[in-house]
Amino acid sequence: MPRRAGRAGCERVANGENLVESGQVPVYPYIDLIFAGATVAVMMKAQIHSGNGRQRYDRRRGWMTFFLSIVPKGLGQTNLRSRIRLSRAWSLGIICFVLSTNILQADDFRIRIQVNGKSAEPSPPEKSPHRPAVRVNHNQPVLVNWEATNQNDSINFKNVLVHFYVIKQASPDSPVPSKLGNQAVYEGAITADFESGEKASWKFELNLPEIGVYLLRIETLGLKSMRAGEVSSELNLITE
Amino acid sequence: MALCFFCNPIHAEHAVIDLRVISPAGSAKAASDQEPPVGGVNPRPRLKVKAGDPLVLNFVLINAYPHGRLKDVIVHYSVTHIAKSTAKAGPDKDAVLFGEVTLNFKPKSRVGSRIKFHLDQPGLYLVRIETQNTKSDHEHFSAIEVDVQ
Repeated sequence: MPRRAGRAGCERVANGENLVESGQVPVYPYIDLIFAGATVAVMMKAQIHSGNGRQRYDRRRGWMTFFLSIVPKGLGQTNLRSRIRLSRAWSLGIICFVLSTNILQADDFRIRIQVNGKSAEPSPPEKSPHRPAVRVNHNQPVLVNWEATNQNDSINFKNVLVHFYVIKQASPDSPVPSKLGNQAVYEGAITADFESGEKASWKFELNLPEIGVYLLRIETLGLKSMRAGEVSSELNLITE
Repeated sequence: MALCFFCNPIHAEHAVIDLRVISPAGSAKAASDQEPPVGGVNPRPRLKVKAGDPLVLNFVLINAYPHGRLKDVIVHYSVTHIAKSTAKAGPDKDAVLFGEVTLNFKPKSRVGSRIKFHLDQPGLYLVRIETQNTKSDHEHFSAIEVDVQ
């Protein structure tokens, strides 16, 4: 699987036009779940070790014990068992919150890729199980149009960098390169603010003279601090 | 005070462009210019290359307009064949390559690209990047002529 990168969520083909939309990365909920589980374990251990509740803050265990000892006390719970029970419920609440925010943020920033080459035809999904693929003629230019939209009604994303590139790959299943270097055939980037409902788009004509597999990937940088993670969308352009 | 009032802020520089075309034998660089007048005021740099040479088009455009956001600005770039020097760029359908970015420009917004291409037919080509729809009385551009031999 590519580095925490989301593969395109769905593919629609209509009238010789291929439209691919980005989907939220399915890896994130699991990471959040693991994180939440680890948090619960640490909290429970810290709670039990905090004894009768008089140890308010243990420097060796850090802020977690401090947090645990403050919140139950604030809710009027002095009994150790009650506090443990409360912290369990509290932990469950955190898990639910983390997961629900992830679900809510799943579609708040969307990248759409459109490939309008006349000779472009979608490849059978079984041949490129990890990415959608579009077959194009290597002698004809391919018109690519991508669009990034902030679909969130309340959040403005500031200083977002949207980066895209096209690189030649060894096979349709080749992973996303960790370092791009100068190997990109076509590369571009914009920095912009995306207020609610705003979008940015890039339309370009792509010439792929060599036969082979090309990866087209669009990714954000800078969204991570404002939402659950970065957004990306990608597909394979297979020249024949 | 009157002088400040009549100084039109629209005339302020609103795009800084760094355009480069790189070939195996050398490179050419052009900075920001503006229209009108048609064709700008700076002479176009010219780069001589051989047909089929691998070339790289590299540009960075920075919005230097400090007085708020500019909506739906278009940054258009193209490489087109031209009959003679000082000619205007042709339409996109005749272009060797072209692209168009549409976004809301905030101060210091950037658009950059790095494109590998080659020109197989001898002749004169115009590499040009320009802003459109800035709702100003002028637009900024940058251009380089590539002489393919």
